[in-house]
Amino acid sequence: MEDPLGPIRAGFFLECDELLGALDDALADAAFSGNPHGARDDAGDDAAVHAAFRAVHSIKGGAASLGLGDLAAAAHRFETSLAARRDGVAAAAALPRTLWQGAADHLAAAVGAARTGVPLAAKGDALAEALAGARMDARGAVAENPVARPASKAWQIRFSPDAALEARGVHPVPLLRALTDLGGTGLACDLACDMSALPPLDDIGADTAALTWSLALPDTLAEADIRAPFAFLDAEAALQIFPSGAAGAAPKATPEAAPEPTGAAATTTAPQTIRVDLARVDRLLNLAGELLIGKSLLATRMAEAGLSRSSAAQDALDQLAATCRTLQESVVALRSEPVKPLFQRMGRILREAARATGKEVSLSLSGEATELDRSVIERLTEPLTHLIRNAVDHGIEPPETRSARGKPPEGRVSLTATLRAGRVVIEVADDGAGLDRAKILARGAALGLMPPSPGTSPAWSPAADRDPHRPAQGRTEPRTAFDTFDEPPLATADERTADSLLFRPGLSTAAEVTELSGRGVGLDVVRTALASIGGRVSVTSRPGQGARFTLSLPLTLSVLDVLLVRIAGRTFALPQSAVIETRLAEMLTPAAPTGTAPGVARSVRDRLVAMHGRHVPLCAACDLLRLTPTGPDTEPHPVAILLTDERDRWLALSVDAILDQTQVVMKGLGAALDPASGIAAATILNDGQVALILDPPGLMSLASAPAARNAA
Amino acid sequence: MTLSPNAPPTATDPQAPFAAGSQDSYLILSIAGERFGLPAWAVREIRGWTPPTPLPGAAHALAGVVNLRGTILPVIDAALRLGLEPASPAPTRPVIVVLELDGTACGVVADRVSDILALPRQAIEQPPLSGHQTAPGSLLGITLRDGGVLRLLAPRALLPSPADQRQPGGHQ
Repeated sequence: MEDPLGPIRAGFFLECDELLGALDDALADAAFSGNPHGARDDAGDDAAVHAAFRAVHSIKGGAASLGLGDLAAAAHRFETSLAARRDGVAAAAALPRTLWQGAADHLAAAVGAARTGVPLAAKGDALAEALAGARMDARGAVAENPVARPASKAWQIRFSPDAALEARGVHPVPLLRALTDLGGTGLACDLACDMSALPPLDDIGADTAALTWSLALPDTLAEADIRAPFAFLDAEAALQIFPSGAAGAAPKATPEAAPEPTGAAATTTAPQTIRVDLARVDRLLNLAGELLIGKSLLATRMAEAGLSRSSAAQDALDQLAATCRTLQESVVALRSEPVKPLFQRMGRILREAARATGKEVSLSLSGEATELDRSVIERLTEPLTHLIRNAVDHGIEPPETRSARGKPPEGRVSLTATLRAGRVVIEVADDGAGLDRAKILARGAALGLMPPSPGTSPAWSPAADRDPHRPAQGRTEPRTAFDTFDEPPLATADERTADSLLFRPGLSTAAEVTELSGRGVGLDVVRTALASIGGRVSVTSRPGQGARFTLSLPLTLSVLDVLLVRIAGRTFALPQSAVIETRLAEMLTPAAPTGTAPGVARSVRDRLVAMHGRHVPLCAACDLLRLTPTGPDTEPHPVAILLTDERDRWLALSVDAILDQTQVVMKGLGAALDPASGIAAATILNDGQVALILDPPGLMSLASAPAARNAA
Repeated sequence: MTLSPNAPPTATDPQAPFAAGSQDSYLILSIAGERFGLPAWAVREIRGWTPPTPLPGAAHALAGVVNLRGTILPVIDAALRLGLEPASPAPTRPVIVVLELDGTACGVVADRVSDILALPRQAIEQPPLSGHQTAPGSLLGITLRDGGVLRLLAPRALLPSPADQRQPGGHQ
């Protein structure tokens, strides 16, 4: 049942991603600007063109060897055009960059189609045809100048398989047959075998490779076609391809002098990487964590045995601990990858969206080298795709509208990644029309999403603009969404309502449903996707000048800053990202029973306290989690921890004590155990004990659920 | 006379003539003061006692989770799962028997483990349909041993189930 080629195919598709990235890089070079008489010299052009050629060629070779005919054909068409560009054909050099990028996008789509097994939709083929047309022009240009390529010229191929090739089970006969089949039947191939290197009969072993095959093919074939059957060979097989009568009639600096597409030069520039199953890395991480636990157990035993802290054994143990910690960090770093491939994929999505909407949009990237945990990157694709499509579809105006507004007709979208305060911040900004707040509010009202009286419900006010980078302590006044712009930082209640409505389910402001977005699955998808990886999204906007979505993400999913707290005699971990501040519970001011929001007071909890000008429900953690205290009665001085979540709900959680502030490695509770409500995951403490990690949004839901209210 | 559906993948049909002499190993353990057997192929290891961390809202039979070399292992209180009265006095040194089935691992609390027995297949009989105290579906079979009945547990019946989650009022 299992496909033996499955793993090889999976590896090939991973490689395709890298190759498509390299192709994007190459196409960004001035060589593909469509201006053949640019300031660049030929050598600079050649490097980029060859890089693009190599990438496409590798995809083609791999696809052909795995029997992915459609993909090989798509790569082949692209390669032919690239060959024309490489050979200096003027028509190819004059092709605009968008056409090349379009072909790259089409190739990426073909890779995706081969990966999923879903045939490619016909719409992508128009691009291939455009390129084919350009190719015809290029051919025409050559044909006009018959001196450049004499018709009598033919390719000479010399192939000398060596012993290493034999050892890999590669036999020359199928390869040669592939060559003779290239031009169709009836081709005069003049296959000859040179046996001059053959040793005496006694010295011939089963693996002796001493034959050299030579073959002539007509010049109607492209060099790339001839090379294709040999694509999976490295430099080990001596393969020579040259035009016969090579003496000087070539159109440009002889194409046959070009570096081998699959030669050694390609391998030296490729990044030195290996592919490792993520589960193995996680196992390594587990074991590194266990080493640290073992170290602390050993330290306890040593103290019990009466060894002093200044003993030589203790020194050795401290060194071991430092090594363990470095090991743990190194393993965590193993999981990190630059965001560049993700950003490049977004470039493809932007161009696709621009084509679909008939708008002119360019994308600028920065901070592509910023690294993020691989699992975070994987889960960023969907929200970022959504934001990019939104920016093109809803944000950027049509060219004529832009011109009328005094903007350049080409819209600009920028995608930046920066490292800020231990988190990665990704921004998607456009210079389009900005958020239409009036429309959002109207739509929100139509859908019944409007809060009953916006701005008068302090405990649950729907401001979506909390800045996640602000230190938890000393928060005095809410920061508004408009700080990044020069305008005075004033957001009216209506504006804040609009910005938060934007992230509610079902809200889409596009006047008509388009192919791209506006299906009513609004930005709430983005918010939910980000919340699931501990990220947040906020928006800033100015009418007529654009919108900027800011995504704040944890560096890794596996390591978490937590407060260790004691609840009913047990240790729990509380994610620091949700903590606004901590206070002694007895110092809190009870909210006046006849507060500004009596409805809220009744529906949430009986106890409301005033914090930061808001009325916040105060709940005992052991009540919410329904724990019975195991130790003596409740603590004399419980601590209240003010928590928030991505929906800007606030909750004061009272716990027995705060024990520590530390970093823990998150562990799933396993497939068999769905984490209980209010619990997000588990972690292993220094003493080897398991502590549960609390889930602030879950706690807030518990606090407002009727069951919790009845239990109180 | 059958061991399915929990028989190991290598088990041949016990009815087959050539299987007459075959036998399987069972770990003999004590749960709530009573003797049980567990198929040895499902047992990964036996660990010393570590107090499990209870999960809020979980059923009583789910004692909690412990650290098994860096992974989180759910621990089942076998006595509660089987519907037995807990032993009194409580065992001084309980153990955690780590089971692994279809890639899922779980710990089972036992008072102690005593032996590993090889039992011939013919000696194992189908569990009676009624008339014993353990929960239905929890037995693979029974056999006579040392003048008494030895009950052989179905490992699958001890794994955590969705019913262990979010039991109303199922708090500690």
